Amino acid sequence: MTSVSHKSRIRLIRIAEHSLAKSTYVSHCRTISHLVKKNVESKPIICHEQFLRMQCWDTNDYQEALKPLSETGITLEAVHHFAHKISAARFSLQNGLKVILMANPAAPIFSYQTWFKVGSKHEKVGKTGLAHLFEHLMFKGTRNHPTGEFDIEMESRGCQTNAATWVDWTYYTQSLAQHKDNLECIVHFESDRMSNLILDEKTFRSELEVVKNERLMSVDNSIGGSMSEKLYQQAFPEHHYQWPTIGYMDDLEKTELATLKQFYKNFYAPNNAIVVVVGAIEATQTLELIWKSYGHLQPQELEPYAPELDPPQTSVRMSLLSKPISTTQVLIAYPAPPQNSPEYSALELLNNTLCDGESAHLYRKLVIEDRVASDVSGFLTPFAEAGLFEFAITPMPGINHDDIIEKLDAEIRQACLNITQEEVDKARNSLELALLQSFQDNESCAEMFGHFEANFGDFSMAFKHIDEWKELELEHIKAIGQKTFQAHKKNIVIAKPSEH
Amino acid sequence: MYHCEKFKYKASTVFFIEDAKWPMVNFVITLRTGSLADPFGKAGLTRILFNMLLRGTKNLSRTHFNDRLENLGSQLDPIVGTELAILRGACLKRHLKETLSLVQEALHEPRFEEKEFEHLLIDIREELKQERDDDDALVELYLRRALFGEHPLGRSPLGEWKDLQQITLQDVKELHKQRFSQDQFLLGFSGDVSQEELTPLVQKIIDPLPETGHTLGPMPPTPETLSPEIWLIDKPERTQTQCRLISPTMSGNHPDTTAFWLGAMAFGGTFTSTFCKEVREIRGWSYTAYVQYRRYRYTPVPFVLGSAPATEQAVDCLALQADLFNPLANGKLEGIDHARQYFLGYFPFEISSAAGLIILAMRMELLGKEPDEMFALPEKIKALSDDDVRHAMQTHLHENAFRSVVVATAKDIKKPLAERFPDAKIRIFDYREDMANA
Repeated sequence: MTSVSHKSRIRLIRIAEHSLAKSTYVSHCRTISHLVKKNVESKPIICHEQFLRMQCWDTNDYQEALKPLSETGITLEAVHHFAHKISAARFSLQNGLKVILMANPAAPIFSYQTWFKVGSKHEKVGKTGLAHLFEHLMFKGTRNHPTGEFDIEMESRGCQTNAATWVDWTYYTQSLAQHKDNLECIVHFESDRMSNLILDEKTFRSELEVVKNERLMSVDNSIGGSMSEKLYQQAFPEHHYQWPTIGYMDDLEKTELATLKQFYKNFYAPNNAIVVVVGAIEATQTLELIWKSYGHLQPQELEPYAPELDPPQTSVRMSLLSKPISTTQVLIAYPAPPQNSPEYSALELLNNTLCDGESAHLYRKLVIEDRVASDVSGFLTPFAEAGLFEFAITPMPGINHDDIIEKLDAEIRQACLNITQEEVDKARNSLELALLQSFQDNESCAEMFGHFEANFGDFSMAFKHIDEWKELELEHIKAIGQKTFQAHKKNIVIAKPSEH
Repeated sequence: MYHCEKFKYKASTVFFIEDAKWPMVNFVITLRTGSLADPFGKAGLTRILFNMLLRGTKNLSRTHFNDRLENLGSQLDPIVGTELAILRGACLKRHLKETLSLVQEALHEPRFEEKEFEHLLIDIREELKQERDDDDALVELYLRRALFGEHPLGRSPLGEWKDLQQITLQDVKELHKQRFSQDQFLLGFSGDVSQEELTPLVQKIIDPLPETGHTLGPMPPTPETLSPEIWLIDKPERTQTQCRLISPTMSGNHPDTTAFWLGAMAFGGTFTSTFCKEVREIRGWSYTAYVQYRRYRYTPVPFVLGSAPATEQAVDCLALQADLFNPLANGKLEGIDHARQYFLGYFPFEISSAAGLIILAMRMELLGKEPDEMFALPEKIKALSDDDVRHAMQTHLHENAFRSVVVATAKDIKKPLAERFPDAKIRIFDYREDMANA
C-alpha cells in the first residue's frame, strides 16, 4: 500500500512498490473460514490449448464466450490486438462496472486488479491525503469479514497483494496461482469491500499513525520526496496536482472519520471502477464470477470533478531547500501535456534521446564530456491532465547550481534543434524493447490497461505506442520540443547541503 | 511452464529457455565471484572492473561503444554483488547478434583507458557520498559492518571510501586477467532464441577465454554469535529513524536453511506475521516492518528485523524488536503452517518467468545443485514439521546475541537509549565519519 511518488514511472515500469519495502518475501494478505467454500476444488482445469487460442481471440470469439451469459446483461464493448500475439477485451456490466480481460497462458498464474477513478486530485484544500489514507483502510474489515480476514485468506493462498494511489487513480492488485478457487475468492473479497467496508474510529486512528509514518519516510526524511513536494506546489498554483498524494501532515492529523465515510460513498462504486484480469483465465468463467459478485451492486451518484486550471506560466519559479545532504541536487520542470495529447509521444521520444543511457544528449554532454554533473535523468508525468517534464540533475562538487541550470537549459534547447533521425530510431528501439518487457508480466500488463482505462477510458492506448512512435516525423518532434522547453516556463527546486 | 536447458560449452555452463512469444532476448553473463574476490584493502575492485568493461574497447571508444549498443535499443548493465558479478542485458531479437558481438568485445578487449578509470573513481566517490543521503542505504551499510566487521562480507560491493585510493588501473587489469576464464562464467539466455542460433554466439563469447582462472580461496570464518551492542548512526534532522536488529545464522548450503527460511517467514514475512502485526498493526509505529533472510546464498546469511519508527518511538521499537527476538531464539514461534501455505501458493510465481528462472538456475548451480532441484522446494517445505522449523530457529539464533543498528539524530535519542538499555554498549558513529576528505 503506497502513494506513488512523482518520480515513479507508470508507463513502462511497474508502479506498485511493495509496502513492506525490502523484505524478500512479503506481500499483503488475510484468511476466510466461511467464504464461498462450496466450489472449492470443483473448477474445471482449463487445457493449455484453450489458453493458447484465447490469447489472440477476435471479437467473434469474445461474443461466443458471452453467449452462455446472455441473461446477465454483460456487453462486449471493445476488442484490441497487439502484434497478432495478444488480444484484450473490455466488457461492461449494467451497473457501469468495466471489466478488461486478457489471457496469457505462459504460466498458471493471474493478476486481478481493481481500479477506482479517484486520486489525490479529487481531494479538497485542507483535506489532502484522503485518497491514500482510504486505500489503507480498504484492507480492514467489512460487514462480511472482520479486520484481518482479507490478509489471512490472501496469504494462505500465496497471494501477492498491494495497492497504490496517485494523482488520478487508486488501484488494488492481487497476483495468484490459477488453482483451487483462487479467482472466485478474490472476486468475492474485492466486490465485498467495494460496498461493505466498515469504517470505525479505532481502526482509522491506528492506520492513520501508519500513514503518518509513511509520510515521514517518503517526504519528510527523503530528499527526493521533499523536493518533489516543493516542485509540485510551485508548478501547480491552483490545480490539485499541487499537493503530494500522501497528503500534508497537518491535514492528515485533522482528518475525521465522517469525511472518510463520505469519500467512500462518493467514489467507491461500480460505475467508478474497472476490474482488470490478466493471466491464466477463461473468459466465460471469469465474467460469470464477476457478474455474480458485482452484478447486484448499485451504481452511485459520483461527486463531480472540475479541475482548477492554472494560469499560463509567464516567468521562472524557484525554491531553495536546505537539507542534510552531501551534494546539491536540482529539479527542473517544464509544463507538459496530458498523456493522451498528440504531443505526448513526441516528448516520450525526446525524453529518451535527452536522458536515457550514455548516448543521450544531456547525459553525454553534462556527465561524460563536461563533467559538470554526476547524474541527470528525465521524467515525463503520465497524467490525465497537463503535468510536467522533469529533469533531475546532481552537479559535481564545485559546480554552481545557477551554472548547471543555465547549461541544462541551453543543452535542452540545442538538443531539440539538432536531434537526428538516428537518435529518434534509437529511442524507438529502446521504447519498443521496454514495452515488450512489460508485456511479459501479467501485473505490468494489467497496470497499463487499468491506467489508460481509468484516465482516458481507453485501455488500448497500451497497444498503440509503437505505431505512434513510428509515425512521428523528425521535424514535428523538434517543434514539440521547442514549444515545451521554453526558458521562462521553468520550475526549479534546489536542495543544498545544510550547515551540519 | 518453462523448461530450463543446461549445457556445458567447454568449461562454461550455459542455461537457456526458448520462449518465442515476444521478439526479444534477455541474457546474463555471470562471473562466479562477486566482491568477495576483492583483495584486502581494495573493496570495490570487481565493481570497477565491470564498470570499466562498458567504458570502451580496443576498437571502440566509450562513446562509440555506447552509441552502437544504444542505437539498437539494447540494454546492458553491470551488477556486482557479494557472490556474483553480472552483465545483464536485453535486446530485440533482430539485434541479438550485433548486441552479443558488443558484449563479446567488452568482455575480451576492454580498453582500460587511464582517463576513464580516473573518471570512474570520481563517479564512485560521488555515489558513495550520495548513498549516505538515503537513510535506508545508510543503515544497510552499517549493518554489514556491525555483523561482519573486517571480514570480506563486511565490505560494500559498491566499494569503500578508504579503499578507493588504493586501487590502480593495474589492479583492474590483473583482476580481469585472473578471473575471466571459461570455468568462471555462467551464461543464461531466455527469449526468442533457439539453441542452434545460440551456440555460435556462445562460442564467440567463450572461445577466447583461457580454460581456467584463479578461483576464490577459502573464506575466513564469520562470527557465529555476537555480543550485544547498539550502533547509533548519527545523522542530523531526522524525524524518522531506521531500526535494525541483526544476528548471524548459517551459510546457504547448511541443511537447516530451508527450515530456517520458513521460520523467518512465519515470524515476519507476511502482514499477519507476529513481527509485522506487533509493530505495524497493533502499535502503528512503522509503515515498514519486516524480516529479511535470503535463500540461495553460499555465504553466511544474516537474519534481520527492520522497521522505521518516528524518533519518539524509536527506543520503544528497538526494545520491542529485542523482546520479540529472544523468544524466537528459544524456539517459540507461531504461524508456521500459515507461512507454509503462503509459500506453496506463491511458489508458481518464483518459476513463472523465463528470465527469473534462469537466475534461479544459476543460483542453484553456484550452490552445487542441479537447476531442477528448485522444483523440489515445495515438497521439502511440505515435509518440514513445525518442530523442525522451531529447532532450526533455536539452533541458529541465540538469546541476546544480536546487534542493533539505528540511524537517528543522536542528540534526540542517545539519553533515552542509554536509560532503556543500561547494559548495552552504545557506539555512536557520525554518518560520514569514515569519509574523511569527502
